[in-house]
Amino acid sequence: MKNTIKVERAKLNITQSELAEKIGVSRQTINSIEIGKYVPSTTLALKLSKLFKITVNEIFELEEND
Amino acid sequence: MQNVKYICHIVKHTNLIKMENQQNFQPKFRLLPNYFKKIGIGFVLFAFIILIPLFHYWKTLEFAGNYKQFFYVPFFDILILGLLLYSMAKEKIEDELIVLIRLQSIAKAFIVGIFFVIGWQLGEFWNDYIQEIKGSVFQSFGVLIVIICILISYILTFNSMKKKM
Repeated sequence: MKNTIKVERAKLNITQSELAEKIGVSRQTINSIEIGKYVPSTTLALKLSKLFKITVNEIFELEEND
Repeated sequence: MQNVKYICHIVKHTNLIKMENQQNFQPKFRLLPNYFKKIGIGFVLFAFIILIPLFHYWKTLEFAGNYKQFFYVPFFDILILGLLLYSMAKEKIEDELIVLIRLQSIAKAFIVGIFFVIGWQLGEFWNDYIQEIKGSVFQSFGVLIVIICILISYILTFNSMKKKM
């Protein structure tokens, strides 16, 4: 699964730690999501969507293997 | 019109029930506060301090036999309690990825425990029937050592997976 968290984070000009703090997870979790090692739960995806003010579909995209 | 209202009512309540059920299946652990990690480490260190006199007087005849039990029993109990407290303590930020890692570590520790017991049985068989050695320390504390093995395996797996995050 691809995601645009890094891009959206850059748009808001916030670090991984700041993003993690805003949605109540650890920095390592944000890093794992960004590099595609971990697919977040619906709750976390919705929190990200709310923060970035875009839909979940715009943040996460299914790949052929998924 | 009444039918539409009725359908809306059913849909609304069905969704509420679904949401409640989903919350019930969220993997959550009732864990101890983070400072219990330090308390756990303290217990483990204390357990090893208890063993110091045993090693000191190991070779003296007066200390042989049943006296060793006075040190072994509290050593194992305090060590297990310390490891348990350490493993049951929350992380500073206990998020969903940590919960997932915790679950995976428990599963791995469970499997390690099973293989440990199988290995143990084979080892005892080797000792008893092939080497003809009986009455080892491990035979007296078999269950406790299996528990310690499971706890250590859980802690090591959890910490290694956390580092790889």
